[in-house]
Amino acid sequence: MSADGIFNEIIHAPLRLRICGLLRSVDELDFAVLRDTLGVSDATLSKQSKALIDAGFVSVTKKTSESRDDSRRITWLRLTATGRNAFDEHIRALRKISVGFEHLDNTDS
Amino acid sequence: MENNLTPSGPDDARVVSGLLEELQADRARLVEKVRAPKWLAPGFGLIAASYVMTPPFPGEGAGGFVLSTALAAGILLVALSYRVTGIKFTRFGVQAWAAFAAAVVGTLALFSVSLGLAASGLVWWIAIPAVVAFVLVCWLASLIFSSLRERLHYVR
Repeated sequence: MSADGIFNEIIHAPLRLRICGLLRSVDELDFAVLRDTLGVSDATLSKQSKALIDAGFVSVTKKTSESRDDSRRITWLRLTATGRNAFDEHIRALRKISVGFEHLDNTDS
Repeated sequence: MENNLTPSGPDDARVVSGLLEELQADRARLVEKVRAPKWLAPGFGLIAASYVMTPPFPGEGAGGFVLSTALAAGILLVALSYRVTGIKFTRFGVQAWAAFAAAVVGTLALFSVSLGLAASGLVWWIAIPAVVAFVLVCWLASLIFSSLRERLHYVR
């Protein structure tokens, strides 16, 4: 763990940061709930999730749903341990930048 | 639109502040969306009430059967609530654990009252601790869900 945090280019893309931010607050989240909360399309969320999955930050579990009469499955997304660490480090880095900015603002005024 | 640049100046820091605020807004939106299924708290209340009603049941294994059925039903309710809400919560906080402990202790206390009533031959009076168990556990289950829901705001 770094005191200043570690900036992560993969996580920093705005939508990916928001995906990680929501997943960090839960154990697992249904793809549909994540999509609706972020207000994006299936395709957009799939594309951004895939980048996080490929980086090993997010894992996916698919389960059948009795409430659906077709073959669709519930897709659960979760942050992996690596993803949690990377996100926490990234947030620490962002907070440091943000606090530095507030400090500069106060000095100016 | 993506921005993969590493922030370095005050302008970028402003963007960063905006991103952090957006994360909070997303979580607030998620909290707003999450609603406990209407059957969840009454379901746990029914499980507790059915356990409290077991002392007068005939047969030696009746209590054990009801207890194992109640545990299985509890697990089923939790699994169903995950499917309905689309959220699996992280660990309990202090408040949720306290409410859970209160539900267990309260149910066991009411179960011992039922045992006493059954031993005294006052079988019909067992309905009272059963109703109290239903109301108590129903309320505590709602409290636990609210606590888990609120924690969504504060986990990192």
